[in-house]
Order: sequence, then structure tokens, then C-alpha cells
Amino acid sequence: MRIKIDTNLSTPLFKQLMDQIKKAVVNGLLKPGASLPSIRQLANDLELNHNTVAKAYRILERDSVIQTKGYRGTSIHIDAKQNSSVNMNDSITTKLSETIKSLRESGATDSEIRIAFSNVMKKQ
Amino acid sequence: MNIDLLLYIVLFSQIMFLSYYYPRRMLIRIHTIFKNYPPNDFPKLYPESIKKYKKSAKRYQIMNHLIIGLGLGLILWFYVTPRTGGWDQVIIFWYFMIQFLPNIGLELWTMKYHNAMRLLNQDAQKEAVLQPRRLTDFVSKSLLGTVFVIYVIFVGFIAYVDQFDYTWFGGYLNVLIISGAYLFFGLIIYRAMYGKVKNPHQSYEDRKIDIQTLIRQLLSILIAVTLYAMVQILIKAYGLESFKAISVSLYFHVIGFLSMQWPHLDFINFDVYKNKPGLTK
Repeated sequence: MRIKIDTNLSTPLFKQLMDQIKKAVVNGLLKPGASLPSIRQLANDLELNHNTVAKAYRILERDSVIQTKGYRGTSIHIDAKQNSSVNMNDSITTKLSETIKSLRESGATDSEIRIAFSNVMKKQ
Repeated sequence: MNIDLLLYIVLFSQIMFLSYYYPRRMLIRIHTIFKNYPPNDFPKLYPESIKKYKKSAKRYQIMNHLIIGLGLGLILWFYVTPRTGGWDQVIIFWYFMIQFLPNIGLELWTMKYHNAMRLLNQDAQKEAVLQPRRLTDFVSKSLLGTVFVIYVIFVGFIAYVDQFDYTWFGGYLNVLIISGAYLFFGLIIYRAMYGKVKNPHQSYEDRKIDIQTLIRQLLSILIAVTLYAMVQILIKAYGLESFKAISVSLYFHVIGFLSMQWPHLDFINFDVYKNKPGLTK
């Protein structure tokens, strides 16, 4: 399976990479257990910074689309297909919207919510 | 046959093989590319003027002609000068190094050529195959096994010879030197497999063929180097030193032959070098 990156697009490069891997998983081009190239190999082939590919792999691993097993390298996660259809950004936005709505209903002002959100993020 | 005469024949063959036949084949290849894939139709193949490349090819040819002259002079010098033979192999070794200089120049030229290609490349689209590359994708397990077995045999051979306490024998230093060669070649293979793309226009299939050719060459050279090291020790152990210079020359024939494997031009995808809007010579 081939992957294409366009440096002229406004979409960040790591996102282009993630989207194409997810799409390939959903379309069945990448099956669970299929091996992926190392960060170094892919970054050099696409003439990208290693950190860009590492970031894409890190997020895909967090979303359980791919898994890294030491010397065995990186492969497609067994539940990759169902995890690829989940958009983490949408999920976070929905959950935050619900929380903000409920806080507003309980009488909190936007300013208080912002300060509390900022404090919680700093403590994490 | 007289050993000296045999040495002249082998040395003459080395001169003609490495400084005439090898460069001639290389130049035929270069000029075929110039002729069949001209700058007007394949502008991306020529990041700089074709005249400059033709000049470099001419320089390569002249250098080799001078080295042929030097080699023939060397044979004449061997013939007229009374020698003990002790320095012959050293002289042949350094002559081989000189013979190799034009090829080192060619290698440096290729690096500059690829740099120029990358600088001019304005393609925003980059493509890669989402598949890990493994050594066994390029060479058979049997070749890898052979390289490994020969290395083990070499270590065993050194351990065996080490028992005899020869004063001239370097002992396990030989293992260290050969291991260094394995490590160095291993690094080159690793860089070829996982390193940066040298030619930005080359198709993935062509790149795979290039990597495969290089790995096969290096592994074959490793086998030759290891066997040659054993042959050298045997020659010394059996007191056949008068054959040493001949064996060195024959060894350089083998190295030259192994380095001469290039992918056939008909199998290379030259369409990738055709013009695209925004890319001019």
C-alpha cells in the first residue's frame, strides 16, 4: 500500500499520514497484524522530519489503531478497524460541550469555567 | 611457467580489466543514457547542463587512459629492474588504489548529481510504500547464510593457525579487521535500506533494484575479502610468497568483477524524469 503526502496542503503532515493509515484500515487495505515501516524508514522515504512521523504513530497508538511491540516493530492493532472510525477530536468536543452546558446550567459563568479548566489542566 | 612472466600477464590483465574494460562499460552506459534519454524529453534527469556531464565523462576516460599508461610503465619497470619480489604485492596494491580513484571520483560526482536533483525538485507530493523493508526482501537467506558461515569458518581458521606460533601471524587481529569490514559494509547496507532518498524522482521499484544490487555486491565482496584473507595466510604458511603478488592481482580482478553489476537500462523507469510544469532544466 502506498501513502502520499502533499506538502502544499494546509492539513498538517502528521494528520495526512494518520488519515491515510486510518482510511487504509477502514478500507481493508491494512489488515490487523500487518507490519508498518519504522519511523526512520517512513520519514526518510517521505522526506519528512522523524518527529512528524513519530507524532502520527504516537497518536495512532493512543487511539489503538497501531501497536508497537519492541523489536517486532509497529503493526496494525487487532481492533484498528473500529478504532479508526472514532474521531478523538469530535469525541473530546462533544464531551466538553456537554460538561460546559451542565456547568452553565448550574450557574457558573464562562470566566469561572475558563479559570477552572485552566487550573485543572495545569494540575494534570 | 616463469613466475615473473605470470605476474606480468596477470598485472596486464588487471590493468586492462579495471582501467579499460570496466570504465568502457561504464562510459557506454553513460553515453547510452545521453543518447536514448536526451535532456529535452527527460529534463529531470539533467539537473545541470548535459555538456557538463559529457565533460565529466571525458575526464573519467582520460584519467583511466593515464592509469593504463602508468600500469604499462609499471610492468616495464618490473621487467628492467632487478627485484627480490618482496615489494611487488605492495606496489600492486597501491596501483589498484590508483586504478580505483576514477571510480571514487564517479561516486562523488553521483552524490553531487543527486544533491542537484534534490535542490531542483519542486514536487510537493511525496510517496512511500507502507511496508517495512527487511534484508531478506533483497537477498536470499542462503546468501546471508553463506556470508555468516564463511565468517565462522574464518574465525575457526584463525583460531587453528594461532596454535602454531608463527612470528608473522597477527592472530586475532585478523578477526578484528574482518569484523570491522563486516560492520562497515553492514552500515552501508543499513543506510541504503533505511537512509534518506538520494534520487527524489526514482520510482520505488527502481530504488528497490538499486538497493538489491548494492547489497548483493557488498555481500559478495565480503565473501571474497574473507576468503582472500585466508588464502593470504595459507600462502605465507606454506612459503609460497612468490605467488603473493599474483594472488593480490587476481583478488583485485574478483573485486572489480563483483563491483561491475549494474541494473540493465531497459529495466529502469525513465518516465519519472519526464517534464512536469514548473520544472525546467
